[in-house]
Amino acid sequence: MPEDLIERQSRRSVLLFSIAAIGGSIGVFSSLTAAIMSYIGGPNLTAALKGRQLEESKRALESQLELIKLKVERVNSTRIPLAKLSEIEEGAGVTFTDYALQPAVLFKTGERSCIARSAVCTHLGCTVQSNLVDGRIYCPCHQSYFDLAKGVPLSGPATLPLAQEPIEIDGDTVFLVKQQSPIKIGPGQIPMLPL
Amino acid sequence: MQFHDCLGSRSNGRFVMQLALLVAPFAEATVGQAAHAFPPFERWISQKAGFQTDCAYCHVNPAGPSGHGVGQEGRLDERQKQHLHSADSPILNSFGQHLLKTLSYDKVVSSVSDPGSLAVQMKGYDLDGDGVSDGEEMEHGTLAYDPLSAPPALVWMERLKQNWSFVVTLAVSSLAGAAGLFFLAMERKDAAK
Amino acid sequence: MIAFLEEWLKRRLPLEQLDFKRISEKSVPVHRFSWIYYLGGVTLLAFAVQVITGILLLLYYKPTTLEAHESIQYITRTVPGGLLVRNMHVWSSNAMILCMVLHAFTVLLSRAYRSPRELTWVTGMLSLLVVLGLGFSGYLLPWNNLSVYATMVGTQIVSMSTSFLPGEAARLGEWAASLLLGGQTVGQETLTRFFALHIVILPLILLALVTAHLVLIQMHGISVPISILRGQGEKIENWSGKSQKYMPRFLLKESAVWLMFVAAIAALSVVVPYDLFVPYTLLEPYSPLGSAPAGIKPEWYFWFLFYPFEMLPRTVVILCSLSFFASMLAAPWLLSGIPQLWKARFEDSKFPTYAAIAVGAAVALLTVFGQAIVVAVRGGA
Repeated sequence: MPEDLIERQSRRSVLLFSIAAIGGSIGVFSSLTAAIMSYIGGPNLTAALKGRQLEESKRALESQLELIKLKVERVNSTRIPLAKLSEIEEGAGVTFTDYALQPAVLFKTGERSCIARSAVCTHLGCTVQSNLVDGRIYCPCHQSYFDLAKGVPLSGPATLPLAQEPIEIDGDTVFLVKQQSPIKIGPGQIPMLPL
Repeated sequence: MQFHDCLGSRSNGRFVMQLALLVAPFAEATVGQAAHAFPPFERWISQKAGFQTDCAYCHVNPAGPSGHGVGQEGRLDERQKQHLHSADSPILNSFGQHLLKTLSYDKVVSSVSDPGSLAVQMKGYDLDGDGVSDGEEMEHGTLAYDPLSAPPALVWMERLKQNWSFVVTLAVSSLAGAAGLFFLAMERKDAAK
Repeated sequence: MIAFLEEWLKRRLPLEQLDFKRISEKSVPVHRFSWIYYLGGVTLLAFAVQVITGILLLLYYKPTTLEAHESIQYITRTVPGGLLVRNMHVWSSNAMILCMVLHAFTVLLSRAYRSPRELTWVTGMLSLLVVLGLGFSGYLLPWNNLSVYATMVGTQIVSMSTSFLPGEAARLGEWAASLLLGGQTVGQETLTRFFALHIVILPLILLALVTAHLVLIQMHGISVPISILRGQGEKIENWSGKSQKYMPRFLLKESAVWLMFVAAIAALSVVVPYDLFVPYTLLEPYSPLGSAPAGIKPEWYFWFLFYPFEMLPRTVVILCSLSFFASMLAAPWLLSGIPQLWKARFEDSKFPTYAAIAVGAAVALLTVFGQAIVVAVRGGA
């Protein structure tokens, strides 16, 4: 190999270019290797840093616990209190999680009437916003608007209506009611290949 | 129209309601892009930044302080509730706490009628040390407590300053190396083919 | 028939040519379009960078919905050099896809896919699909609002993709989507499955495809653009122009390009964190109870598929994109066969060039101006 090169160039320039090539490559790879070695070694955790990290873990754990509590509640009870009728404002929905652990929103439609709808946009599955826009339900992902009373799409790319969630009003409290159909969550619920 | 109570505690709820009535017409007007009723600070930052921000700019929870979620008032015990308006408030993130520490609770709340003035007052501080003052960060809708969140060009300059030796080493050695490799492969004009 | 198949395969897989001593005899043609020979090499190097930085990220990443977001924050903010490693992974993935697409486009223009190199083209196209799959699965792993909602949208599209088929077959897409999701919605099962896809399954498939691609190149030698060959006889064997040995001369030049690529990606990663281009609300950890923030979008290399979904009926887009991918795979046969319909010789016909330019222009237009087109078609944001 060197002979092949030397045939075409003078010995001196081959030497010079080789030094530049090898030196340059060493420069690039050594600086990268140094960075990677300190990356593998990990951070030198100060007490403050450790404290902050623990604080963050705690926060993440708390939100996970919240989700597990929701799951337990949904498995164990046949109806779940959502909100006090007197505390809901018209136009501002109350977000909740339905029995399938999907987001849903509860809206007040009159003095003693409410309607709850799935918050999963029928277009591509984003979560719709809980505040009504001109009396309509709005999904910010692709600007779909839905009718509150019927759930049907009014404008935007969505074509299917937002499902209604079963609720009942008992005294001053609005409850989410469990339906007969089984809950489908997690693996083991994958439909078989329809062939 | 409901406003997320992004301002702080329930005790000034009446004040927020009055404000809500004041800004409601504006909120209606911007609904086309944002479709969300904003409390004044959030609305001001969103307008300046050009995208819809949320309460996590100052609060722990993106949905604001009211509710029973993480970092919301429903979660607090009696002892924590006493700290609601202090600089170690459990519902505020580090920028929210920093605001109360530098300006006091009353000053922050009183600037709600003119959110821009809060940004002006914060121009002298830089919580995350990324070279962009807290006031400027508010105007750009980037997180004032996060050194990796700032107007792009300014972050590039700052990162370049911090890492200039690494970047210069890479640039010089890659150019030298590439030139060496390239000329090594070249043929001399007078060499036999 | 069997004899024909045997002959066909023998000509395309000349296994007897597989003699590794011949790498020393491999030569690269020299002409005014020689620069296109670097694109494949850069893609290969980017793949190597992906493997190395990917392994490094595995040292700290935790694939659970509870810890994924936090572990990424830990890598970029706390671990020394973490910002460099993570951003090298992101930037080099983007560079890899860009180089791969340019490589495919130059191959189309120079008609390097022509017989007997059809299989080289097919392995390359399949690798591009696998790489897009890697991009899609990797997007979910940071578990922030942007990645989870984008995955919801993507899997939703998969689930609807067969709805135009009759009867039970219409549910094939639904089945495929739930296989990806591991349930009804994006959750821990999805994260686990995407993680497995991203770090084991797809990289192994890609490795196999790339190996086949390289072996095929080694067997067939390097093609010369048809426009250069004209007047030199149309077969590469007749190439009488200049060429240079791969070892060591072309390899030296290729190494020069590689060195600059690695340095450029590393410098870019340190100075320009990729996340800066996204509003902070999209980078917050995903919460199943919050609503979707505005501005959810896939990575730029999916925009040519994403924007049509915004303005055209779903079935049309799904049928179009399926036939697009199928015809890209079959491009060597389509581009050489179609000119024969009007009795033109493939070598003389302008059709393959125009077709390649049309496809490239359509994809580039949708990627660059897709947003504006959607606004123009749908009227307003």
